Amino acid sequence: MRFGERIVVTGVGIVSPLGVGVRTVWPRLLAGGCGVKRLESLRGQTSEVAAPVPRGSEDGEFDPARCRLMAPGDAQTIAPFAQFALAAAAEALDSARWAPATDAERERTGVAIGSGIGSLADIVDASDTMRERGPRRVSAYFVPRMLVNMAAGHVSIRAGLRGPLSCPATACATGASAVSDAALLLMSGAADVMLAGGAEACIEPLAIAGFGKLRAVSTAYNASPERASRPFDAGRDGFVMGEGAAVLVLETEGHARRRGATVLAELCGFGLSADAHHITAPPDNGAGALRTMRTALRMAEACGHPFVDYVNAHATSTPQGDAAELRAISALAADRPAGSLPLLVSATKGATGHLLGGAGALEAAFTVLALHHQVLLTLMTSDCLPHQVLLTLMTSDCLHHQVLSP
Amino acid sequence: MTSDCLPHQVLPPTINLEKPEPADLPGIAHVTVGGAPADGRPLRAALSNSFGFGGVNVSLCFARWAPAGAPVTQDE
Repeated sequence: MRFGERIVVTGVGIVSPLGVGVRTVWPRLLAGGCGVKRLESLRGQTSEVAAPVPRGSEDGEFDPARCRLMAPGDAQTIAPFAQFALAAAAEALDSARWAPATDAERERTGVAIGSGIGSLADIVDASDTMRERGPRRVSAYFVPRMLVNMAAGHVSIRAGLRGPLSCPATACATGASAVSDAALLLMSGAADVMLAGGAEACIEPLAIAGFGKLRAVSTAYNASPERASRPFDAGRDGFVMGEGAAVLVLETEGHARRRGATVLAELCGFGLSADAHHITAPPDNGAGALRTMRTALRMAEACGHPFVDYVNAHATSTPQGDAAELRAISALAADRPAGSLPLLVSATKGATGHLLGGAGALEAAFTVLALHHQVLLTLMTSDCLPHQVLLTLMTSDCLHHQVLSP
Repeated sequence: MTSDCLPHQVLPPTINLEKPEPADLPGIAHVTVGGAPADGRPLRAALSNSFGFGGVNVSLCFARWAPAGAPVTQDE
C-alpha cells in the first residue's frame, strides 16, 4: 500500500454468535464450534435457524453492564446493533492499548463502522405503534435507534473520538468496506488511528421472510441447526442469519511505532470492484471476485508481500455464490507459478452464520488473528508448553514477549 | 508433538464441509479442521473476501507483521 505509510492492525474486538471477546471466540472457532440454533422467535418461518449472540452475565456472553462504553439505560436508547459495536470497540481499543486523552489524540482518531440494515426491529415496532396507536405515540428514540450510522455515532461519542466519522453500507460487504475506507483515510493523512468495523442485529422475522423470498436462507436444516450453514458443501441451501459486531484498530505504522504498540498484522492491500451484473447474484464465473482479489494482490505485491497462502472466503453457503467464489479463487491460484502450493481456503460462516454488515469485519478479524498467531507459533517452535497455558497465551492480547523470555 | 505440546491452531476451519461442490477445482485446498497448515507452510499473507447485494466486491489483504528487514521466504 503506497501513497502514505504502511497501515497496521493493532487491536481487535469481537461480539459474535461464538461469544464475546477474542479470548472466548477464537478458541471456539478453531475447535470447530458452531453458534447456530433453532429459535422459538422464528417458529413458522421457512427458516427457523439463526446464530444469535449469547446474552447473559457469564464470561464470554454479551452483557451491557460489563461494557465500559455503555451506561445503565442504554438499552432504551441504543439499538442492539450499536450496543454490539460499542462492546467490540471497547475491546478493540483496550487490546490496542489506545486510550486517546488529549485533544490532538482524539481529533486524530476516527471511526468507520457500518451496518447493512440498521435496526429493522425498531422500524417494525414503530410501524405497529403508529398503525395501532397513532403517530404521537411513536418513540422519540425511534429515529436515533434505527439509523444505520448510529453504531459509528455512539462509538465516537462514548469513546470521545473526534476524527473522521463514517458509515459504509454495502450490504454484506459493509464490514470490509469500512476497513478499506478507514485505510484510505489513514493513507490520505486525515487520521492517525481509525476504528473500522461492522455491526448487525437483524434476526427478525421480517428479515428472515424477506431473505426467504429471495431463496437466500437455509430451510432444510431446521431440525439440525448446527449443520445448516455449510459453505462449499454439496448439501448447502442458503445462508444462516447471524448477528454481532467486529472492530479493528488500524493505524499508520509511524503512529504505532511512536507509541510502542504491538502490531498484529499489516493491512497490505485491498481490492474494490462492482459486478455491474445483477441485484443479488454474481456472474457464475466469479469474474468480479477474481478482479477484486487480483487488485488486492497487486497492491500487496507493491508493498513487498507477493505470497498469499490463505483465503478467508466470503462463502455464505448459498449454492450459486459459493461456487462462483471458489471458481474465482481457483483462477487466482492459476495466476501463480507452476508448482506453487494450493491456496488454503476456509469460510467461517459455517460457525458464525452470516453477520451481513458485520461479516466483513468479523472475517477480517479472524484473518488477522490467524496471521498473528502464526508469528507467535513460529517464534515459539522449539518449546513444548502445557496445552492450557498456551491456549491462554494465544488468546490473551499481548503475549509473545512474556512467552519468549525463558 | 502430543496434545500437550504446542497446539498448531492457526487457521479457522470450514465446518460442515463434507462433500465439496464444485469438486476438484485446481489450486485449492479446503481447511476443514482448525490448525496449522497440514503442509507445514508458514502463513505469509491472506485475503479476506466480502461480496454484497448490488454487486459490490471487497477483498482485503493482510500480511503477517515481520520485524523490519526480515526476509520474505520464497514459495516452497
